[in-house]
Amino acid sequence: MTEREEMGLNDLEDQYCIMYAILGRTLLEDFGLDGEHALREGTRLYGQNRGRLHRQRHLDAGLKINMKNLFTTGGDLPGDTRTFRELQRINAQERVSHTLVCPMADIWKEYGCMDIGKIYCEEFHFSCYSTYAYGYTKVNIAKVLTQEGDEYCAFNIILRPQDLPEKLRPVCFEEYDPEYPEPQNICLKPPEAKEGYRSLWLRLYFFLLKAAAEQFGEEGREAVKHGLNRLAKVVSEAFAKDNPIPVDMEFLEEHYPVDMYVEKEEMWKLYGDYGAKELADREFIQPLLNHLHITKGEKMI
Amino acid sequence: MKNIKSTYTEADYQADNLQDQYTIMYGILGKTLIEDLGYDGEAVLREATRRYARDRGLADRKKHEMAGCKVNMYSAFNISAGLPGNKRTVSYRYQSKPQQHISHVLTCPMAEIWDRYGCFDIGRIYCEEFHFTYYNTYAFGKAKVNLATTLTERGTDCCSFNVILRPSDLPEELRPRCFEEYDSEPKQPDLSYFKPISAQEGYGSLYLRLYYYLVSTACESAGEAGKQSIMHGLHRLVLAASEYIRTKTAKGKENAAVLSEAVYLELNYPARLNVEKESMWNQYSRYCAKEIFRDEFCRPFMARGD
Repeated sequence: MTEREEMGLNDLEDQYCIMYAILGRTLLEDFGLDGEHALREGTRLYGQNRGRLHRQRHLDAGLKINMKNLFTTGGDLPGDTRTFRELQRINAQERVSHTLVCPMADIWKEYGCMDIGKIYCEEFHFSCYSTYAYGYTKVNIAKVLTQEGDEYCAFNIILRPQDLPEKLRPVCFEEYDPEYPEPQNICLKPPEAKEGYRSLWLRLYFFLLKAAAEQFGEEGREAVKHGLNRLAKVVSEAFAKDNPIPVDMEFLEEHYPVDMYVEKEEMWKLYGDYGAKELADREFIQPLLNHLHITKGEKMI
Repeated sequence: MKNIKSTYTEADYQADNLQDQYTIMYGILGKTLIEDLGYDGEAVLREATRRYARDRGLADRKKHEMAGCKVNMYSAFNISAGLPGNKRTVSYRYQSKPQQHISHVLTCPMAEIWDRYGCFDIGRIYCEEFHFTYYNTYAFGKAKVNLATTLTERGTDCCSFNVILRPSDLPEELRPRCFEEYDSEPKQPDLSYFKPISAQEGYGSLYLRLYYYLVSTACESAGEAGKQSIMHGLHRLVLAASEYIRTKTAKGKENAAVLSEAVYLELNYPARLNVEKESMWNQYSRYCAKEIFRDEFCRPFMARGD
């Protein structure tokens, strides 16, 4: 990986986190405790969506739905070079690990949004892992790097056959499926960085909008609009600061998760309710390009 | 085992014995269920542990609310509602606030007993099921219970608790019941409501309820095979409980000789061995729980020859 590619990868991940932080902060500021409720609910919906899709990919590939596969086969999170984990135990029933360095926590800290990051940690992991295994996963995260004073994230994620109804045991564990044909040539790989973060950004944004719109109606959409405007400013300032690379459409293609040409993005068809696509285009993409003095198809002046 | 300080009183020794026997009962009955019924036995054990935890969570919440306490993480971890204290557990609290309790338990006498009696894996099941269900039930199903390491796992050095209750996760009507800042007329809790509970009374109640949920879940889920397994477990428990008493008295830690057998057991065994004197059986009587306990445990235990 070249230095430029690595920088692009890091930016994609950071920008995904910044989007969550800015929209989250806006919901909290605009609606107080009820805004926090919407943020948590949006995060849970997003976790459920990822857990469900992950499970379906595994079922389609003939894999068992268990902790080993969840954490080792075809995840939806692109690889990155900054996260540092110490894996203590992984098998079909358990995954025990410590995350010693988390770039998401680092970026939330840098932007003064550790409290928002903590909400992500409290809601996302439980919801995603639990949904993946039909609601039977036990998710324990006793320490998180988004908690002041914690030196690592401590994960202990458990799925016990005895907690599953009988019909799900063979779906999850080989030993309950005597005629299980070991799947051959599984080529489920994590997505490439741009593809992966594009999908994650878009879905996370959509579910935050959905939660806000369902809880507060038009006022919720207004808050997200306000958050997107703030985000455009924050992103443009981040890219303009000490950047050795010219910030143009090509740069945004490599360094920003979401496609600046919304009409080219197929995923909006699935995640376009509540005017999500139009809102993102009008309140985030266009203002961002304006701040950066970019016209679509042209380089920054 | 943690060194016991010289300031230990006879009552402290008795509290330790009561807790240990309660722990042994779970270990032996749990182990027997798994050996007899295999994976279904483990499912029974887990479900029984969850039912027991629900019972305790509901009861403790009710007591707290009766005393005017808010139902939150500070109350759950700091206002004892049913568990007698003990001097052997050592824990370090990083934070104990209404929204979040973070602590490390550094020594756990239950884990040590389970290990000594070959039931370490059974203890792990207890930890996985009990805490999650208890705190969740207590807090209206809205608590986030994280227990990333437990002393019932090999190679871990503490139980790491991070239990969270967020007002934003609660429906509006529950917020004032859980957090003072959402109560327009908060009242000072009346802590005198919580009468000091003796170790015998506390562990007696816990023992009976834990046993009841084991027997009722086994019978309900596995029918006659479940009942037979509980009876088998009680026979083994007679031996294990007797062995515990023999070890204790042989070490001279307790002078059992100066006490009559009946008085010693009254003070050092959690369950009343004359079941007719125990009024709690009226509430926990289904599946002939009392009669099974009397016939398969109390009588052989009283007739043991040590």
